[in-house]
Amino acid sequence: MAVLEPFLKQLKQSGSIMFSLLRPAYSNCRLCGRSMKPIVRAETYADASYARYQLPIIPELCESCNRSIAWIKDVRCLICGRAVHCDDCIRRVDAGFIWNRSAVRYDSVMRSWLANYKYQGQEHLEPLLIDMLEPMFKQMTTELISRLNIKVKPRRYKYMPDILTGFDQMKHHAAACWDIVTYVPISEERASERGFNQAQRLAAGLARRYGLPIASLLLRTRHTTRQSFKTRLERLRDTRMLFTAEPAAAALLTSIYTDKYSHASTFFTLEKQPLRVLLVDDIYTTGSTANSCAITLHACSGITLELYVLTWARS
Amino acid sequence: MKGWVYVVEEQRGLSAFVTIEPEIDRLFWLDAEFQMGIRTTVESVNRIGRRAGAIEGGEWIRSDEKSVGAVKDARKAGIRENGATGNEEVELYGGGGKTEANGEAAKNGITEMNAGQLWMVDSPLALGIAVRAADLWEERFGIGKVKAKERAAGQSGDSAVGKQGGFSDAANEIKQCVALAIKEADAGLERNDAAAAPITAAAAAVPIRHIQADRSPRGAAARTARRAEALAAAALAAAGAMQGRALLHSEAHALLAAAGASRPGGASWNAVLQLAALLGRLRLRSAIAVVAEPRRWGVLAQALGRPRRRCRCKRCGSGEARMRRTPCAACGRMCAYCEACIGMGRARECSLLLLGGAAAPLRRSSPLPQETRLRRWGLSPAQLEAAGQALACIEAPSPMTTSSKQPSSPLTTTQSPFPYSPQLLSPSITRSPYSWSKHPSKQTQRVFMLWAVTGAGKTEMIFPLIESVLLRGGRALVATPRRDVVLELDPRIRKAFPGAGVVTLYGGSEQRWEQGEITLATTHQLLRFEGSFELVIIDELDAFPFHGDPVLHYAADKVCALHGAKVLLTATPPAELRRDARRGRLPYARVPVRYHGHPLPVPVILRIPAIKEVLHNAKLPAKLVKVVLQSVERGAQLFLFVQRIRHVDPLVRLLRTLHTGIIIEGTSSQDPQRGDKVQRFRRREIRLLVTTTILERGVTVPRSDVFILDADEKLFDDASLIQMAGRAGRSADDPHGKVYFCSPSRSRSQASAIRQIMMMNRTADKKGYLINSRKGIFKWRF
Ligand SMILES: [Zn+2]
Ligand SMILES: [Zn+2]
Ligand SMILES: [Zn+2]
Ligand SMILES: [Zn+2]
Repeated sequence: MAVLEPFLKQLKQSGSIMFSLLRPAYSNCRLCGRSMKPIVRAETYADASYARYQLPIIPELCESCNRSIAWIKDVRCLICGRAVHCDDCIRRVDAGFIWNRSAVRYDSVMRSWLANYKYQGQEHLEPLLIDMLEPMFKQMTTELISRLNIKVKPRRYKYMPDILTGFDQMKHHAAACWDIVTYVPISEERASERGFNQAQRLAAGLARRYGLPIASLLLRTRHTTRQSFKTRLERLRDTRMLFTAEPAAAALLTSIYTDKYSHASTFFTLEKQPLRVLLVDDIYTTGSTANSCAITLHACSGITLELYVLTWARS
Repeated sequence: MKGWVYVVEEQRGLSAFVTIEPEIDRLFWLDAEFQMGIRTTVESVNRIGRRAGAIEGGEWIRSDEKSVGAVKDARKAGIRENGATGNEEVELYGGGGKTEANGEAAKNGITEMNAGQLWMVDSPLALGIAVRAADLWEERFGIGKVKAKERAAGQSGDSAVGKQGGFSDAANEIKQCVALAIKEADAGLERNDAAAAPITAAAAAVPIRHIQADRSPRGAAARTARRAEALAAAALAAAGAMQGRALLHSEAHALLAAAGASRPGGASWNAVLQLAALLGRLRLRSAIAVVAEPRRWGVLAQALGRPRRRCRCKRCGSGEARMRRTPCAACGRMCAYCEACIGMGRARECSLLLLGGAAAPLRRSSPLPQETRLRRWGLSPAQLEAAGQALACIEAPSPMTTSSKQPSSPLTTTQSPFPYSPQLLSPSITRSPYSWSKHPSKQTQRVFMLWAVTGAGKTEMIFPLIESVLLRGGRALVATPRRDVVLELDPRIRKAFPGAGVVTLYGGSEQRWEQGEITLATTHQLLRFEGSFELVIIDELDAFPFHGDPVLHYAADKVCALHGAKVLLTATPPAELRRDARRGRLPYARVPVRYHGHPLPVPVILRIPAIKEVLHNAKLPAKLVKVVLQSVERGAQLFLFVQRIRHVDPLVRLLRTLHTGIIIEGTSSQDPQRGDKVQRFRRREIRLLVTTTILERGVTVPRSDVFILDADEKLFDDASLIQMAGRAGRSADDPHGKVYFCSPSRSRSQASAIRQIMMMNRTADKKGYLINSRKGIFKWRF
């Protein structure tokens, strides 16, 4: 088999060349509509400094749009995923979730992108936002796997290249890491006015790409006014009893739990094993919404949950 | 959102309607007390309307600014909009004596409001489907189906039999229409096929409720009547505020809230809007409608292909290509939305589009002769002649006013015996008169082009046109693609028409929901109107983004009232308009001379290398340096136009090496300090400004010379070159500015631009408009 390896390597390379031939040489930036060369590597950018930061690149965007993305490269606060140090999280007492990670800082450009999608309804931006969520999702998953020593199913054909076996390492990691993906619900009134729930769309997009199960576990009981007009304290009070569990949530979680641990050895079942849940939302402001969701989820069934939050933007 | 469909037995027979608030419809058709209340309100409003109409008419004879103010007051009182039964129609369609008859018919109509029964589809449908179902019903049966049957059965007295026969299947028929509409939406089948396919099973599943009038006496009769009175008044006021508008549901709410509309007794906005629709003052449609298009492909394609249903945006006219379908939480279906006009709020298949009624038609008579009215604006002879032609055109009777086969339009203009019957919802009228890509009013609109050279004083020429429409009781719109032009026009218009209400609309404008006699707007804002202006003036129609955007063209057509006039203002008409004008299909007038009476500066061609090369060699060509220095010497402000943003800064640096002692700056669309630099250029602090085509229009700086570099590049077409050249010699104290086309080669657009400029000068010369005219000095150079 070892003899074949160089050959297969070449095959893989030629495959990617073929793919690049199939791709049109020029396309239009999905955001600003300017025609551009699809850029896959940051080294090809006119300004080489972009490559130094090793920031993700969204291939469907032109260089200047890619540059305007406010990626969170260094997570300074390990709890809320902020790019700067924060004191809020030290005060945290009734923590419902373990940590939050956000893909981008909520600056004016990101705000306008989200507004175009969420309020103006430009749903063609949806895959783009999911694209932007993906790097942080991957990072989060990898981090969890190494921290918690999660066992990932090994590759079956060691010597076959992934492109031939269809093995997607990240998919396997994600499947091993996450038991279920869920999202922050919006009120029915908002849904009918907006036409969609942005958190649900982001979660569904991510789950589809990684083959993860997704479920609606929560309902929003009250329709609150816009969060941005309130003080921090008001917000915290306001979001306390905002959600209830979906009627079928407990049963669903139980069935996932039994599915997961029915085949495990008695050694593991004796220990109380948690379910890892990924809660997705579009924006993390104070964390009160996520926390309120988390508390509701914990209370809805007897199963221990480990809740992680993934948001598109951190304000 | 969702809507309900029902069939009602009314005076004309059976008709299908859509409602967003079924309770209001039940009361309107079946509740005697509610009807009583409505009748009271409508009659009192009509009375006031008639009286105000009489006053208005008297006032017009004097026809000065004061009368403009009087109409304004009348409008403010909501009279013309609301009380539009007799007066206006009668005046246009019949002349005097008919008022009485009309009033009587109205009275008769009121008594007939009493319907016996209705069949309502008992589950809410996605609005698009509900509207489609009602349309399908009308397509099949028309209005007054049973009446026809009755007549066929014979008037021998036993009408109950005839009625019975008609009614028994009314429920079934509306069920079928609903099933058909759903099926169309689901499978994307076209109507003919769908009609053939069995839908009986689906139709049987449609729940239906039969509601009959409750004739038993009740205690709360007086209260119901009072509630109806208040609600009807609110509905009429709301409809008045929305006249001429095309608004999405949320926009309508915002407008009503801004207009201070009332919701008596805690009624919902929907109830108010629905009642206005039943009273015939509003139309409720779905923002994206299914259009039936004949299939063009062959038999094989018909057999193989599953045709998608074709949708069209009712707001911007965009077709299937701009539709995107996504799952929709509001209606629970795959629901199309329009990507073309999403910047103005999202129009969905299930979202409601409210169309306010069109304004009442204009008086035809003008109280003062045209010459007298033209005189007072102080126009130059050239302006006077062109404005006179335009005025004659817009005041001429509309080509189709006498024809009886007009496309029907909102109630205020239809000769209805029943002024507040819900016929607007009824499909024969809602069956849209639009041929979609071209707005229907295009056929009845008059179009006139004012082709005025740069600096001719276009704005002054539109004043008499606006005045003409105001004097006849109409509304005028001045639209332009560019926001800064709107802001610049605003004070001038306000000054010229102090008595009139002026509304200025652009993205983020505070007057967004106001109404006035004169509206100034960027072309995008036109999407929020429909059939509302008797005079539409489009300034700079060849400028970006209007030129080449079908959405904006559609919008410009649709905001013009059915018999209104459209005036196009341009210095550089696009080729197709020039062709139409030449062939006599488009009436036009040319203003070949500037307001100061001096000829346009004719561009001089300067052969220098391409700018890329110049920058590469870091050496300015001597020829260019020479003319630049000459201009600096004579104290001119210098515009240097380049094509590419990336050439701006290097060129500025290179020019600074000349050490001319003047301040040299560069700007482009990506320059955040652009506005500031232009101001400094105007104040003569900056003397030489390197710029891209962003300053091609609008910026007028006295005593300026123009240099166009790389004039042979294809981004500069002849219109663009003429516009840039038009920056020179604008002021009367320095009419002979210099214009240079600098390029390595001579291009066709340069030749064309110079030819057009020379032609205008020759025309001006021939007509004797030029100061110091020496006939024959302008010769063809190309
Ligand atoms: Zn871009
Ligand atoms: Zn933190
Ligand atoms: Zn549209
Ligand atoms: Zn919908």
